[in-house]
Amino acid sequence: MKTVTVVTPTGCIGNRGIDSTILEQCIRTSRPDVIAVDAGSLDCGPWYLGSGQAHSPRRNIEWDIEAILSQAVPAGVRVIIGSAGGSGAAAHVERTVETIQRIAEHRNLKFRLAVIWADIPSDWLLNQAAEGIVDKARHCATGAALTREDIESSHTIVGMMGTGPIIDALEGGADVIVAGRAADAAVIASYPIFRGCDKGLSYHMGDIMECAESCAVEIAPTLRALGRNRIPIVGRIGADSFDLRPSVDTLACTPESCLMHSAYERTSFNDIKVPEGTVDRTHAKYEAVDPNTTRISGSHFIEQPHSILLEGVRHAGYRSIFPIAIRTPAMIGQLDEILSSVDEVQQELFGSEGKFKIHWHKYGSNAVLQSSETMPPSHEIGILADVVAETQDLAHDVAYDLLTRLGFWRYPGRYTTAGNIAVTLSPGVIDAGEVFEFSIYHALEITDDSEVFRTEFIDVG
Amino acid sequence: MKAPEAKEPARSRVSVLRSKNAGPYYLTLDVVFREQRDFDKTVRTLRPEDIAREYGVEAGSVTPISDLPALRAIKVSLLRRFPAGHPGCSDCYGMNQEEPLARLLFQLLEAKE
Repeated sequence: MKTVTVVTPTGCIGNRGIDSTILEQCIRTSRPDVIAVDAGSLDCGPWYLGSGQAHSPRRNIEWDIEAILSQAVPAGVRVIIGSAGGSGAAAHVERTVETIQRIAEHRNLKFRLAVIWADIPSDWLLNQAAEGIVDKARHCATGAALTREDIESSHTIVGMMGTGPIIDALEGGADVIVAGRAADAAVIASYPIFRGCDKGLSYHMGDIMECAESCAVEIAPTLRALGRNRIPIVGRIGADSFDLRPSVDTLACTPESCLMHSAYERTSFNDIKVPEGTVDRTHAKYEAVDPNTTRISGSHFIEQPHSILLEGVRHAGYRSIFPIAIRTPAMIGQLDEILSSVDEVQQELFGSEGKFKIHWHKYGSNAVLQSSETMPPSHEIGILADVVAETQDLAHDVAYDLLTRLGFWRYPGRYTTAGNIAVTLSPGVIDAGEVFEFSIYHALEITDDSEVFRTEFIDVG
Repeated sequence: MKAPEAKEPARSRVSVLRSKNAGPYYLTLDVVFREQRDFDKTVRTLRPEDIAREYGVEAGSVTPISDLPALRAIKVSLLRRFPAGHPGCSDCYGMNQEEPLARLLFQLLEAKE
């Protein structure tokens, strides 16, 4: 079997950026079959899935996509982008496709583009519920069943695809694939599996490469000096093993760094669960081939009923925020009592206008660890007040009133009679728009990918 | 009772002590020890219920502690108090939640057996 070479140029498109010179050298020297890269995450919270917005700067995203396309397409290297646009819902995928078309026109690139949509219409899910198909769906963290209310209240729902729909697009002759929500490792594993490589090894390779240079250590300082400092990782997979190597000599994939990456953003060191089954790493071997390269073998795939993660969010109100700071020891000493008193007053004053909740983040006190903090407050406390209300208008008024009220609150022993707080910004209150929360985070067994994931081919250029 | 703040020399016993989301509902904590004996002692004595107390969550919210002897590493995960990015959440990516584990770990390593 011929070796298959995959390059993963960054852990996430738009995140800190790909250095195009390093990518160009990487493609020239490693001659990859495919560039496979993830563009998304759910760890940034529910807002991005609900709002349809990206979780990286637009310029960064365009720089990265341009660096990849302008080098891969002329060289005949296929490109797979997973979880396009951040959350991989229709709005994110559409924006990615627009960006690609604009860059293709500007750079005069021609290719066959496959777009794989990952949105789950709530009607489809409600039909599945009516037929009892979702009865077995369980929340991946709490174990709760998926209810009709969860589905009906959701604003946006996506399903996380495995390799199936991506392999189908490759079979359909796609040069560039833009996939909606997809498992990170599947984005990288798809092409090797399409070419006949072992599923367990392919997925294991994808699991380690998905965050690019995060699986490598620096032999000499490199990353701090670069602005766009994501470093491509080259994976070469053969019949019984795969080799991982960073694209610069000052970084190394060591057995330890590869093994440690298996722990990254996962709840355990154990097996890797993917939509089609589980990668069993019990007998995996990690050996250094040279100072920069590690060879991994011995992992294998356990096929299980096909199960996809559903991710859904619902609308949860509107937000207004303000930052302030307090330097007065007397007030810092009574801060919790003061904040709970003003909370009560706000409910009395505005409660009849609609529902709202005030969240206090007290920097210099316990903003990071909250109830787990054991250290005493600092001499200076920064407060971020976060008001979430039924309407933007109500959130705004509650926040503005709160700002003034705190400024002139007559707490016992107060001597700052001209005002209590340092107001950071003018205007003091920022209306931060719609708030979302997670509604669905359930695993659903499906029989056929094509029921859920729809693929469209576009000839670009 | 929560463990006291750790002193500086104790911190040099680990090369990695990190926290991060493992999906939006879980926080995962990784530790890599420099010395085999510290790893061994931790594996022997660190209990999920102690983690639960330091982090102010129910004992049932903490996974069993898993270890990776080849790296002298341990891992434990717990349900976040707020899912990532929900109103009230203080650390969306969970990148700065390692300190309660640090307190517990260094108290445990300093303790005489």
